[in-house]
Amino acid sequence: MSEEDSILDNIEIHKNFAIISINPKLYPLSVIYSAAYWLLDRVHVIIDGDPETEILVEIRPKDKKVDLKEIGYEFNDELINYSVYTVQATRNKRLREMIVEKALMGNIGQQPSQTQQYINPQSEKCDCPTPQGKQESSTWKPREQTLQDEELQKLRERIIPTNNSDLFKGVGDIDEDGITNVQNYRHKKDEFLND
Amino acid sequence: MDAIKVEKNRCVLKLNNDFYPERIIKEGIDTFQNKERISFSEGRIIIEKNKNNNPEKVAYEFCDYLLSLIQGGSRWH
Repeated sequence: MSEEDSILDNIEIHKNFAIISINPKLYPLSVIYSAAYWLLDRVHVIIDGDPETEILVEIRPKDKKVDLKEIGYEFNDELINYSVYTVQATRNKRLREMIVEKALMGNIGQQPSQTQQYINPQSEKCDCPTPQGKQESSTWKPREQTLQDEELQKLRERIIPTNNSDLFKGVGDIDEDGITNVQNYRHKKDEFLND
Repeated sequence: MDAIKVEKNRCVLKLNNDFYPERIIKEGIDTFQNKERISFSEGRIIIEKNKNNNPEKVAYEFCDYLLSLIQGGSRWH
């Protein structure tokens, strides 16, 4: 290696290119492909090595302004990013399938929609349950039913909860202060940004 | 890494089939053949120089294209 070459962690930097070494036991090939693809707008990428022992990723900048060291570090970050994504996707796979399945079945009409279950075909009356109890209005339709003030207030509280103690009532080991800070940030973003 | 070898009027690309399967390489060559003089022989990709191209640069772009094909939906792995 010449004076311009250097080794940083798993990154071997040469004059016009860098080689990143990856342990395939830590990162599956799909994750390496994703991380490499992420960099394609700035560097050329060639993948080589042994898929069992060591994978080598060569990166060559497309522009002289590109810093190989920074790109190498970014590549390592993207390996972790896509690994987490893959793990979460695997955990949520069944749930996503169920959601899509339910949505498709509803559209196709194999299951009646929740509203249609309550419509009496003879009188076209809707017996949909409401917070006040079952309605038997001859002209009731969804969205035309007005809520009482008390019910409306409860609905508002659920959308924009102001008191975490009520929201998480009965649930143990909740860091209510931490959650309050997160929720306050979500709903009062401008105040936090201006601090 | 010796994946790319630059010769006088051409560039020879030897890619690892563990990472770039032959099917993907052939698909890439089909696309690049419209504009470049590129061929596949004995496991090597040969890019010939023509009036307007730099074979080495084309080789790197070809590798990038293969990666996008792999990432874009081919489920060979």
